[in-house]
Amino acid sequence: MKKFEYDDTVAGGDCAYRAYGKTLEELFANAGLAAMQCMVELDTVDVRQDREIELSADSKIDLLYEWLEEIVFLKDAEELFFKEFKIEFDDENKRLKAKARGEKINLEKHRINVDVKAVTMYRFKLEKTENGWEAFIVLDL
Amino acid sequence: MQSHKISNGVWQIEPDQKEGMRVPARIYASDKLINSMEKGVYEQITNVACMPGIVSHAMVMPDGHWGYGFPIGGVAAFSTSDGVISPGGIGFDINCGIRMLRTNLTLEEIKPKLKELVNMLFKVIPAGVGGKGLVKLDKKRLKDVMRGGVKWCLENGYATEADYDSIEENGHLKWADPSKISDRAIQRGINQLGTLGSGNHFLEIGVIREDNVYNKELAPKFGIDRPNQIVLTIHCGSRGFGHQVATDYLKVFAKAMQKYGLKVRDKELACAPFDSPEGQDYFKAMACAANNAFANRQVIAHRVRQAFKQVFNKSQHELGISTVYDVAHNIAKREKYTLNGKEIEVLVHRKGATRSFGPQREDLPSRYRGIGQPVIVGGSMQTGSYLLVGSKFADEETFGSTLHGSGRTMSRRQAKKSVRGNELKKQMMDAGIYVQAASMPGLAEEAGIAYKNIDDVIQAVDDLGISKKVAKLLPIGNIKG
Repeated sequence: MKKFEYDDTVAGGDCAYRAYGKTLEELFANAGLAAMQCMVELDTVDVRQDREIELSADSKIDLLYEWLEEIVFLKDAEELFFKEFKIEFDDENKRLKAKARGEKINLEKHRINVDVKAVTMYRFKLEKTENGWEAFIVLDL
Repeated sequence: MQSHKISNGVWQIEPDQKEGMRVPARIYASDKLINSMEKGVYEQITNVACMPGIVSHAMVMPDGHWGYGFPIGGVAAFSTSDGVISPGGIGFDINCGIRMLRTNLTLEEIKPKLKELVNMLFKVIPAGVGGKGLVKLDKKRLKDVMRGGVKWCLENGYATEADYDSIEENGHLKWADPSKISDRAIQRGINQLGTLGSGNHFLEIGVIREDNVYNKELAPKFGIDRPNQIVLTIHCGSRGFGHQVATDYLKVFAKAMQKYGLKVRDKELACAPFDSPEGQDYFKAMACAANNAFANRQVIAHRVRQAFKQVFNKSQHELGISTVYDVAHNIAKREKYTLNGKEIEVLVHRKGATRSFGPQREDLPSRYRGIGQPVIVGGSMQTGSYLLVGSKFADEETFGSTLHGSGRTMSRRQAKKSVRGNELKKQMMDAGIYVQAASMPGLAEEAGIAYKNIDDVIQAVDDLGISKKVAKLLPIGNIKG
């Protein structure tokens, strides 16, 4: 199963993509990786430190938004790039605990793509499919 | 959806074209540009025309293209008593804007040192993702920046009195209130004062050739006073700080919409009554982010002066690097206009649009009050930028607004497929433009082919008369985020 694919056809879509996962955990991890890949070539990022993330929201889709927003936030606030995510949910899928693994941003080492300003609500979608879960996300660059 | 030409360069979409439109929508474009205007722009500007309290008409400038909620190049004025404020009408990058600096240097003087200069600027001005800022701040000092903007810079040795006098609102929106800012925004922005950022942001070195001076009487008043003069433009915004303010308030506004029973046609158009606690909180937070962005461009300008001094071994007096003007092109402002013989106050949202005040507006610095406001328009990095002047006609037709740039025609990913960063860098080198970029894919996304022709969009506003051409600068050096 593909982890994610970018969509070039979205009008003005700075960075639009579909993320997939057999489970919700996998979907969240893959959506996070796609957001990271917008900013940096993932193969130039090493795993040197872990960052625990805990979030909660009123619904699964809100939690997905919060999750992606947190990754964008940590890129600026703690200057972190991640390349691996391990995610656990509570029983109702309204709280998540994640272990994000990566390293501090190093402009000499990392092959930078483009900065992500924000996660937009434009066509933002999370749905259950035959094969698991699928999300559609547009980031503002 | 149908638009019809109501006069040269003005296309109107009547309110019967979409249910809920309160006013018509107008697209300002030449015959050529209207044909290539994206369909999404029609959809988006007519959505804006449905919003509560919108006055007169919703507008799109000739550089218009699809955005989130509002189109880029979108302008809308809302009544301050019964209208709304919408973060989507301002954009995630609050007070993204452009500053122009003039110098005493000429092309001949700069040529032998151009590479050294660009390399030096690339080294000393942080660009790209992350990038630690030029000024170290703690939480308290960041709040001082939010309150003071360029006034803070002036008090802390990063600005001159002349800079302060040459910026929209003096780079100091007085209604900023840091108590309306989240800790998250502070954490995101605390390290970033004096960083260029990424995407379409740049620091450009350009030359103004004699035949590119269109208004020979006005140009010297804007500091353009010698042949082949070197001029710089700085295009950037409020960085992670402003992005977080916008993100925070989109959430606040989603809830406020329910509270006030407001409905909009697109989630990105979330809004709240201007005269409501949520609306006022955002307006004060937006001012904090705007001040931060003005200060950001100021600190970069300060560092530019230091770099020039070092490379040319000349004094600031000899180099004569001074601010022509600094404009915000993602912002909302309270302004007064006369409509049907009556004076009204409106909140003008400009998203990818520039204020373009004509002569005699009180808000202009005294040296420009007699002639009108300088308008700075950034083109693609391959085609250069323009210096224009605002007009009385803009005050009457577009709530004192004009375009902000070229306008994208190609998505970033499409552009990246069309040309590789390294090839583009070489092409630009061959064309006499030396560029340094934090990201090669990022460079490719900003290729000239991804944009409308800057000369076409500028001619459209000049013909229309909402701003008039003064001079064009051709790029010779560029630092890309």
